[in-house]
Amino acid sequence: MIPALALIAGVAVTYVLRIAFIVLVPADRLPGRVRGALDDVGPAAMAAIIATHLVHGGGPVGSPVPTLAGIVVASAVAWRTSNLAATVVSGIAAVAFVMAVL
Amino acid sequence: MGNDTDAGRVDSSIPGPAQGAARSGVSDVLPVVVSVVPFAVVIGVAIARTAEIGGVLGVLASAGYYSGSAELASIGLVADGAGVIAVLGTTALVNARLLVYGASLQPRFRDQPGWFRWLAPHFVIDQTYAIATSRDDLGSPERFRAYWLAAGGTLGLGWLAAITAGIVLGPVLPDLPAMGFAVPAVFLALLVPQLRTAAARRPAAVAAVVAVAASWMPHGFGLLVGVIAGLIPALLDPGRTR
Repeated sequence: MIPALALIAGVAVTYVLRIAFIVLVPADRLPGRVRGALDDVGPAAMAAIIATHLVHGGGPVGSPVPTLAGIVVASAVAWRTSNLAATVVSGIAAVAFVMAVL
Repeated sequence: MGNDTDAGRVDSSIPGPAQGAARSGVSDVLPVVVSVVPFAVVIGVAIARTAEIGGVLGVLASAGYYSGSAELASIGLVADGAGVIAVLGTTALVNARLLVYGASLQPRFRDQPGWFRWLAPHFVIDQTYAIATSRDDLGSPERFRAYWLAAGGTLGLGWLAAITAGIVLGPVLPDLPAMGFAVPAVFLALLVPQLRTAAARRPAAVAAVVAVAASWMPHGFGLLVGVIAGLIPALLDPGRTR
């Protein structure tokens, strides 16, 4: 019973966080300077997620070296092609290659 | 007037603006679905190994969370015998960034019908936020609604299918650690093209540096600190007020 209630609580708080600034307190009522900063949320969040993966070795990858190689290769492919699938495949291939070599 | 019947008839074989947006949503999110499969399988295996949860509750919780990191943290807490307050508090910390995503997306939801404003935020997560904000052709409420539901629904179905596969097949699947890079690779694919503009480079650089410096914090809190730090230059810039 407790595990089910705990997971329901987790689901409920996640939903409240999602709707908080959409329905409960619409973000267009926030101060103008805060709304001006919201354009930066995307780049900031994505860069923070990537950096966190580098520090933690990309999760199951383990060492940061293969992850760093993956970031370099994937970034170059993304810069040249702006293609999501090509970026993902090349990045994973680079990580797998460096892991096999190390 | 008599001859305008054919001219006024809509050819159903030609996709309308909303149909086109829905197709874009599906095609944009398919590589993302593939990228989250390893993570979903990890969650499925964790569910299968946590006797307190079980497969049915695990799949229902996965649909409810729609957020892998918070769900994985919650499963770990439940496995350790933690109670409701611990799971609720940890989930709030891990998912606090969804507040910021919601605030950023709110203009897209403002002119939508009530059912959409209340239900569709369920699909707010890193990947859907990133792909939706990377497009500049979702200005009309109809197009955004179609795109958001198609992308979020497709990702949700793929996510649940992979978690279910993890629950059923996880213990016998081979270990493919390089696939763990799929998640950051998706964000690189979405972020790097944006870095051609100086406006995106500043928040990205600040957020990355601070996220690394704060990575010692538990429960992914350093990620949130990094995101908020990335917004500070804009908050201090009076020219960015709108």
